Amino acid sequence: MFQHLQAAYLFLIVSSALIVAGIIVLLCLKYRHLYVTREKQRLAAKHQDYIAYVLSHLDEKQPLEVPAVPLGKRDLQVLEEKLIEIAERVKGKHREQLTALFEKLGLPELELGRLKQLPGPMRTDAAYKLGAMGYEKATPALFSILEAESDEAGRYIIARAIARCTRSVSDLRVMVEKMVESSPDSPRLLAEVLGDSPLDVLPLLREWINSGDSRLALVAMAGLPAANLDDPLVDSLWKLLEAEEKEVRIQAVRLIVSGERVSADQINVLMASPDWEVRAIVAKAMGAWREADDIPVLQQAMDDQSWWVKYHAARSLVKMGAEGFQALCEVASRTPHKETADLAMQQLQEALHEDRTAGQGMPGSNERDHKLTIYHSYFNRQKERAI
Amino acid sequence: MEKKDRRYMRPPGIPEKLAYFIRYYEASDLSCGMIAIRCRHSGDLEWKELQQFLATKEPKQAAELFYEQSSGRLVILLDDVSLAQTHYTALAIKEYLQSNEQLAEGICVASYPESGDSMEAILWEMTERLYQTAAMPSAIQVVKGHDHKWERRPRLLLVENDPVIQQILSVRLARHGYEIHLAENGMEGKEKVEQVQPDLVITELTLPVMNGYQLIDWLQQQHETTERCKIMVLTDRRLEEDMSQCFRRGVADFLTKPFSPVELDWRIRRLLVS
Amino acid sequence: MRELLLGYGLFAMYYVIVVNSIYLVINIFSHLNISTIIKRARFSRFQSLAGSKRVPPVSILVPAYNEELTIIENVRSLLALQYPEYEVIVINDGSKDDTLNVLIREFGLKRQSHVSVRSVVPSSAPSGIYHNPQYPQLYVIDKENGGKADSLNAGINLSHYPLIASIDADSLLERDALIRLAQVYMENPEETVAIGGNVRIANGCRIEDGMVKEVRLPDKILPMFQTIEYMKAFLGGRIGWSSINGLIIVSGAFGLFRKDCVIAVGGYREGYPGEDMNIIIKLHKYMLENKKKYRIAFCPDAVCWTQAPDSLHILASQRKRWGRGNLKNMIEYRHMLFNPKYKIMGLLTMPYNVLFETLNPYFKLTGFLALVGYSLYDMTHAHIVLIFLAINLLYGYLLTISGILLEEFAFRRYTKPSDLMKLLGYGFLMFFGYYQLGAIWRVLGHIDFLRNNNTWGVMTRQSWQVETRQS
Repeated sequence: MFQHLQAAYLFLIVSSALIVAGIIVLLCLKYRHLYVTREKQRLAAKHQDYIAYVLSHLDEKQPLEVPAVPLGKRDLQVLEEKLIEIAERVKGKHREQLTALFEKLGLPELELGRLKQLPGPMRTDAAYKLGAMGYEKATPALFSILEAESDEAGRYIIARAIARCTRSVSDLRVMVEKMVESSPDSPRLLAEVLGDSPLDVLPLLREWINSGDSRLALVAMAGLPAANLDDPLVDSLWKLLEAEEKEVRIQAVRLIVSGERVSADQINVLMASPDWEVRAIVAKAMGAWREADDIPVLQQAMDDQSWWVKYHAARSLVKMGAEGFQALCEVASRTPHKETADLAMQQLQEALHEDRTAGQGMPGSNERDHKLTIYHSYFNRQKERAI
Repeated sequence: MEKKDRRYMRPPGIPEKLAYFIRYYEASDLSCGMIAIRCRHSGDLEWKELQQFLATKEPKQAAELFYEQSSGRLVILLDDVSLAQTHYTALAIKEYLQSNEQLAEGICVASYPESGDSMEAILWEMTERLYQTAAMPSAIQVVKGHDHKWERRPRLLLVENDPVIQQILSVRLARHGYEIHLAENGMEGKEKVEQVQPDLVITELTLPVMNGYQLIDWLQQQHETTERCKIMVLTDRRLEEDMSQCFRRGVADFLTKPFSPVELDWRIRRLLVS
Repeated sequence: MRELLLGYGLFAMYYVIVVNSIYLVINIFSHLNISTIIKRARFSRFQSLAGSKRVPPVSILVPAYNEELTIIENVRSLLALQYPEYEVIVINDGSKDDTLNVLIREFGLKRQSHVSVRSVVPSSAPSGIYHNPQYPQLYVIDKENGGKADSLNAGINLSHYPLIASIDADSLLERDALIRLAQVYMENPEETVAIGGNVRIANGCRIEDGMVKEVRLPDKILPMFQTIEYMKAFLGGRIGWSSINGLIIVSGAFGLFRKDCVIAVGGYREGYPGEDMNIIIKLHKYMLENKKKYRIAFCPDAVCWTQAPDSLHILASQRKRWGRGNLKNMIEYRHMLFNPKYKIMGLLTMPYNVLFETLNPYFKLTGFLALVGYSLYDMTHAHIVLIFLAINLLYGYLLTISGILLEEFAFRRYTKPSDLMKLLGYGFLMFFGYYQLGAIWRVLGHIDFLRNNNTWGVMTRQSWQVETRQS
């Protein structure tokens, strides 16, 4: 029993010591933070006029001057923060002006030093700032840190910094390939990171789509701008429809249908795909194309097994003027499946409701009245006063 | 405006010596930096200390000072400097004055010919800005030239939650002499529109309380009772539907962030002129 | 007899030390992980992400029961989030008050005369779906009262997007909360199954237009205690648990889920409280049984503000409900306990939950009584009772300090030094009555469970304005 008591006493002493230490740390953190915040506010007010000067003359050809007053460490910190805030929100030659100003102030070199020496979040802070400042010379150091960084969030931040700093497309290729190798699959986030780069990445994306590596293909597809895909790209995308991975097929079809309407034969091929996601995407796209020839295809799609295909087919039909509207009424009245009928009726009702809120005497009201007439002719109005 | 200030809406009579310099610069190829300061003197009507300060700071720069005691206006002409350089020098001057407890009640910088066609007109503009109630009286105002003669100052309403964007835009747009009003969310934007009747509303889409779309819808409904003001959208949202949704609602222009400030300047000017 | 009492008392003492030590280890994991969280929270460029088309769309599900006072403000703030594509589905769970009409009037909703909703998870059928194309993101489902889980399931059936977020009707989401969860999701979309957000106590804060404008500590004592409790549990506990993939609960007030996984486990369990813990346990179980690589994460910088009960009556009802739910979940999944097939969940999280949450009050109370009994026999050793109490107090307070440290390192929402003093002071006071009350309520909850009491207890909703006026 005695040893138990001894153990207990020891335990109590250690706990008390830890508690006291914890409270001291807390108080120090709190007061230090308060002091720093107040200092920063004071300095921000002091440099307000200078920042206004920078903002007013960002578009001049001449480079901006550094402040005439002597700058202490915290002055530099405050200026850096404020100028980075601005750099994040502007683009084009203004960013270049700011980059030149950053270099004049000696900030990138400072951050590069911090990058190489400090651990943890402070290193990531430096990486982030270097990216925001667009300091090209930091790229090699950033790459070596990317190798060393083990936590996920940190890797993406460093990857972004590389994207914003480097002026060479091959660096971007290396960065993305490294991230794809060592991080869990996240094509969209990588595409987002890639999008931060001021360089033209289209050649890189082309390369990846044709590479045969599905992970890189997914990154490329997430990074492609939806409109204005040229023919070679579209051809590559069609090849990807044969890929083994479902996600690749889905992303490929999403891009293919995002532009101009594909030919009727191609539509038939796509709608015969075993993936419901592919069929649904195509059904949705037909609503954007509004080509009367597609109406029969959509009507057939209303018999699809997948609820989502039917849903998008119905929505597309109501977008196709009075003809599409009538086709949907046809489906709603003829189909034996309750689910199909419900979906069709729901979309018809919503379309009529939207028409009503558009108002009388406004352009297109003839068509709207036409739709209403069609609707009445198919469905007995007496029972449904719901409209 | 106080009655006392209204007296100074017309430029105070230009002293002979200043007029001489104006003729000199307008005739030559040189540019001339102009700084107008509204302040009280400390007994030294010649501002010798300030001249000395300027001489030590920028030995190669020739500067001429003109002070009118009646209006409290100090005009400094700097030989052959651009607007940016003038502004930069004005920073030093402001700090010097403040450290000597000669509070400047307003500073305005300009440069001929960047800021306008004639120095007298520039001076007029500067004086007007100094003696009107300014939004930020302690800030240094910049006169940026424009070739369009406004009947009255265009009123702009900026509906934006991000304080940095607010700062960027208000500083840059004030240079052109626009009257800038700010709102932090859609509801405040709505109130300000009713209060101020702006010519152009620049709005973000993701706003708290009442978002940009709702504000735009409300604005378009207003055209029945008031004159429709133009709407420009400057937003973080970069989805394709946003652009089409905005234009469908009758928005005049659509820009995404990060944006090019000079492009924004031009688009605003185009909207205001037409 | 004396020896028996002493032996049991000592056992209880070691029990307290062991249980708290495990929690301390979890706290250490939290501290180890905090730098990742700080990095992500500060440098991820959320503003840019919030406008990107690459962010997955989310269906926000808001079950509402008798919320007429606060529902408008809540929905308005949900419609103003910084997020690219999302929808808000409010499920009116057969409210007895005017909740539905308030919504219809405010947003000009029209009843959809033809309802087409799938039935991917079991739920009671909606009696009406309301929508207005002018607010294209907003849907309101009206249905018979069926409970929160049933409402969530109904929302899942209507939802059009692959991710769902469950939000309480009386919570105020911060504008960037959802995009922060999305960032965590996007870092690992294949494996992430669920992400929990941070719940903070809004009592005492200045709230305007559905947003927390100024963060302040509560004035009243009960919400103050709960603030510290939540800080300890969320920051000290959940960060650590999620880092070893042993998170047992994602708060029903704010969580993000992959819809396909939720559907795979059959949706939320109806008819009994504790469905938020239940869905997480089901997800763990499903992924482990199917040998899929997964993670259930926690994102403490994504914040949702909620009203804490400020009266003993309502608080007691809430804690009893939690006790009931907890016990039911533990009993329902008892086959997972100590089962290596379920890895961390089975070997650590659930046993810990049983020993610490569920059985804690019993061991502590009986241990205390045993020591008292022992000291009655032999007054010379009476101080052992004090030692027992001191161990409880100091170890517990140490963990409280750990939670406050994490707050101070990473988030610093409460900026004044007086706030820190208040946290430290009240954190100490909690051991003189509050935790004991909590234990009693938990036991009462267990008794309720055994008696098959199945109500949700007392909840009164106050308007946000009322709350701020009072405090």
